[in-house]
Amino acid sequence: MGGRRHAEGGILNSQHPGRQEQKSIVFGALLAFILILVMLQLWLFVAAFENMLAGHYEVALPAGIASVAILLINVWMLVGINRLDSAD
Amino acid sequence: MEGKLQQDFPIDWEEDNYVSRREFFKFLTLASGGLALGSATMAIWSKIPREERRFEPMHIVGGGALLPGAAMSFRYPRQHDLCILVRKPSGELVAYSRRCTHLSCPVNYEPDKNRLYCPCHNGAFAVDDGSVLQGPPPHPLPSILIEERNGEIWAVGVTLKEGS
Repeated sequence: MGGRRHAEGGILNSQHPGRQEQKSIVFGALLAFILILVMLQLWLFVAAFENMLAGHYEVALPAGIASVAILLINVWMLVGINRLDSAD
Repeated sequence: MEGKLQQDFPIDWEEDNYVSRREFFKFLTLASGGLALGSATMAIWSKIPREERRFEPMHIVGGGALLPGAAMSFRYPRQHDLCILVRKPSGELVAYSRRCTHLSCPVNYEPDKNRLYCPCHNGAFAVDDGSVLQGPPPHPLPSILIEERNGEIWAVGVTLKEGS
């Protein structure tokens, strides 16, 4: 798979020509995943807010913890993507 | 104006400033941070003790002379906060917000049934603790903290019960 050369002798952008495609698929999957997570966060936020307005304060803490946990996952994914780029 | 329009909607594809997937990912992470911050703020806010709030003491005129089984209205802590002071048949004084927790209709004391009744939607609250006895009210009545000073009755604060 790796190290295919052009006729002129130059090396392709990546050591693995299929790797860019792989990365693109992974990136698309991560993008879909983060979209779902952000929508989940939005739902948590609205649910906690509505419950607080109704006087049910007990929902806010679990929602807050879950939301922060999702943020950490998202940041972790973003850092991972940046690291993947810098590795190439 | 025209320059801005051409910048936003260029003719050549290469000049278009489209948002890349990477930028979109960063934007979503930023949005995620904002939502997490909002949710965390609500979580902290929910843990602030708010059961008992002290306000400036106010003399309830005529409260001390209230007969057992009778009730009177007063306003506390603000002028538009309607409250009810009840002297139970046992002689004990209790005070609650008079606004039904359903749709804010004023509740009335019914000594024969020992309850505070909301005629709008048949809601009823216990005189002893303000808890909901029947009807659509979702929360108990907030109770008014009262103190007796030299035979006179003073309102000194408001207590919200669980779920108020």
